[in-house]
Amino acid sequence: MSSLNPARRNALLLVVLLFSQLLVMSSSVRDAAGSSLLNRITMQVSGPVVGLSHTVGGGASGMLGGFRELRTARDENRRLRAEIADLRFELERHREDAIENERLRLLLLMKEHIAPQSVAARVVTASFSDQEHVIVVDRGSADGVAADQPVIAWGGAVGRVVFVDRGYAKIRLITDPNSGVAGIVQRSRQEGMVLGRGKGLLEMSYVPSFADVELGDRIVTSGIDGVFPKGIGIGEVEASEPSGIARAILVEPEVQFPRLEEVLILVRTESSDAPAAAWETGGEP
Amino acid sequence: MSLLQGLLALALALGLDALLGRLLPAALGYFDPMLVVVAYFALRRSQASAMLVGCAGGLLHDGWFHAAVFGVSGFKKTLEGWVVGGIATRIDLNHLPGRIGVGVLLSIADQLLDVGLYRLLGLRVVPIDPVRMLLRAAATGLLVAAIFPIVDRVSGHDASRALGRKA
Repeated sequence: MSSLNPARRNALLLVVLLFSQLLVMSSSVRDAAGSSLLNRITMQVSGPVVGLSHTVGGGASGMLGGFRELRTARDENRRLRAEIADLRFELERHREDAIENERLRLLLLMKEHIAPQSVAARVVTASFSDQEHVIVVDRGSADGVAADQPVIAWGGAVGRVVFVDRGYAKIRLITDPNSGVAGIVQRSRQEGMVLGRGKGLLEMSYVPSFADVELGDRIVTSGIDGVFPKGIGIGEVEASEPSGIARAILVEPEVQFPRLEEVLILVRTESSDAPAAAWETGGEP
Repeated sequence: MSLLQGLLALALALGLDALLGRLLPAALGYFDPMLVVVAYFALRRSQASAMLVGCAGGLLHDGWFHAAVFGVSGFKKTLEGWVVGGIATRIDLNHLPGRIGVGVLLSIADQLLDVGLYRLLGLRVVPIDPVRMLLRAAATGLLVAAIFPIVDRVSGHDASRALGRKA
């Protein structure tokens, strides 16, 4: 190497580095479950740096959150009062239905549904670039977290675990452009696939133009994707227009992703194969 | 290149990345701290060091923030380090407009390579919004320009010495 001139030496170095990373990328594409050894090593080596910024960020976030909460508390209070009045009316209306539903469900299934076992995790860091929406949480394989497990938060579906290290897990959010969740319109039972767009709103695809989907309709997981249990909230229909033979539907996610601080990872158990119907009726996990 | 300096720069960039990801995740949509490290090493050290920090920084970024394919950022930043490091050995870019220009170039190249590589890998791609791309490029350019005097002050670096650096 020392006999080469600097330009040739650098060109050689470039070829070696790019070629080795092409190999890494190709192995990563083949192993979608994300068991890449290099990724694990990277996370373990740099874990203390991220852990430190998580600690620093925790303090700063608390301060910022306090200011933010003070500012929004008044508006929130007003909004919640109006919402309580509406909900009280709705609760009365649904109480009778709920009792009947519960009786029928017990009759049909002859057992209580058991919610899948979950692991609570804190968001360590996040990335919301155009092409990827990812969060990292402080629970990993040591806590029973594994790839492909669904992640939820207060409000609804968050994403899917794509990579697990001992103490951390990487989660692809449902807003990521390469994310897809099987969804269903709660009112009309119209099924579709909810895809991320790399922006705030989600897109519900594969819905025929004649389908009964209205503004404000709630979309929940249908459970047919084999990742999310049935009935977890995804969002509300923000726009719904016929576009050729399909319907263009935009969905406002129920979860405020940039503000996400804690999540629940649904660790698969035998009982999690049963539909989580309790969530669907309750509307929230 | 001092290995220690490189590692320190990468640790700081990753720490900032993670901190902003926690506090202001939207801000990370406008600049990438790893690009600043690549720009610094390309202008102040050498083409080879820019490639190496680009490769290491990209892989660190991939490790924490990429869900689709591991290695995309490493690939991009190695290439960017080579291009900018190569230009910097021929043209003196170690002044304010040059640094801003390098930041802008790196940011635009990064975004275009992102889309290109994702397309090649058969992933779903969000089309680039030109306004957002330019805003990002401007933010990165300003950040690159701002970081040099800060690092110089901290390390007591004499800017005139940097002109005599080798490829």
